Amino acid sequence: MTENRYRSDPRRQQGKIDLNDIIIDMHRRLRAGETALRIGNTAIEDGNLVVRNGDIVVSLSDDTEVMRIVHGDVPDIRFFATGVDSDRFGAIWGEDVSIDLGSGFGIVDTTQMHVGVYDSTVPEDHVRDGGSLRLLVDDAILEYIPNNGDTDTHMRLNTYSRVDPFKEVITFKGRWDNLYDFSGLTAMSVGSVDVPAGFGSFTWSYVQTYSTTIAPIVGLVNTAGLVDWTITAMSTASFTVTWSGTLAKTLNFWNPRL
Amino acid sequence: MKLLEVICARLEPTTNIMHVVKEVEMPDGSRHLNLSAFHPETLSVRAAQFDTTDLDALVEVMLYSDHVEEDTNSNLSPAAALSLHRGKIAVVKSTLTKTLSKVTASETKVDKLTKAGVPQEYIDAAAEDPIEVIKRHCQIDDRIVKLCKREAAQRRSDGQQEQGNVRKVDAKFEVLRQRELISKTKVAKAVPKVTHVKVTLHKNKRVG
Repeated sequence: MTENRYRSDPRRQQGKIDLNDIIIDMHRRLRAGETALRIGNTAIEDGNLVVRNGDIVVSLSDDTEVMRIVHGDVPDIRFFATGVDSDRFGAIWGEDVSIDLGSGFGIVDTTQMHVGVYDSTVPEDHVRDGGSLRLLVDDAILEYIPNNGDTDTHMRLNTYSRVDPFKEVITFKGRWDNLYDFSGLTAMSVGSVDVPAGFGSFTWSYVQTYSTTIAPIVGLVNTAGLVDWTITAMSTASFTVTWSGTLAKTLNFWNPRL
Repeated sequence: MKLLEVICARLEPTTNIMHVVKEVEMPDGSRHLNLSAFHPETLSVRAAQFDTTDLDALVEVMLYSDHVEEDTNSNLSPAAALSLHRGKIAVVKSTLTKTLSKVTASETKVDKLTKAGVPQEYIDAAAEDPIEVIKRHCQIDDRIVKLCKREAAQRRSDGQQEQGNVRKVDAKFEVLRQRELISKTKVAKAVPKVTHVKVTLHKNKRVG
């Protein structure tokens, strides 16, 4: 009823601003102002929270930026922790990308979520400098990519997905620790030993005593030809391999903890 | 495989691995030289595991690691676990000493090494007491001990918990067993004991 009455207001028809419109606009602006005040007055006890050009920025009392939620096509939450390392920052961000698998496998359009440590020089470029986790539509990668030229390592599930020959493929890039057991709970103990001539058996004692059975899977390299050999002892602390003759040998082992 | 004698020890410089040469005897009575190897940090890890800084005890644990199995998930205190382990080693040692006196008394360490044809550096190492060599190269590293103590304590606690669970299961079975016994007794009391059965034979009656 009321609206109908306003709409029929002769002043509006004359192109003049209606008083009711002014009141409605004032009310909208008041509500917006009140919300801003609520954010400002209730969420911050120390430091600053600023909404700037669509980004939400959290800073310390001295204006040092510690967190930023970046708006746009590549939404991003950046963490600039203060302390000993100012060269890197942490981020959680997502993007839609086309990945060229190469070798005739085609281009894959995918959503890609990232969590990682990045070079802080150009934050928007997301230059990886340490550990990161990348979750794609058909691929999951836990990787370490330093920005100092060192070799990167990764664990990758469903490598080069969408392409039939590679589906279900798991890739590990890196190497195993030779003759060292970080913990008695590690999944694998790996090593390679050259045994000089004169010995008829070799015993390796693990650095850690394993908490459960560790099964020796051993390969014996005897360049001089055939040789009788066997694993003659195994425990959670060591294993022994014995062979016939006393020529020099190389012994490789790959022992999983069960 | 029996350990007869620890002949020599040296730190292999290329790999930084401790090499210990032992003379061993196989079940068929044949003897040969065994090369036992371990990382120098292994002693620090065992120091955390047994909560001790007694290097002599730790060296002994290492030398017999392939002859006396460790109880990895023991719920015993570290001191009690070490004492038990050394007790087992002492039993093995006493047996081996008798064997050793019979078979290798006439040969020196250098003789054994030369006869086997091991590289010269092992023969040179025989001039020193192997236990002292191990102690010199495998000093206890407090940093490693601290890191490994947490895991050792966790494993003891897990061992205790596991044993506690076994006790609980045992207790449950005991309750069930008792109940079963009681119910069997009740049944036995309820059913009157049959002392004899009276059997009466009847001739088949023919009809017709």
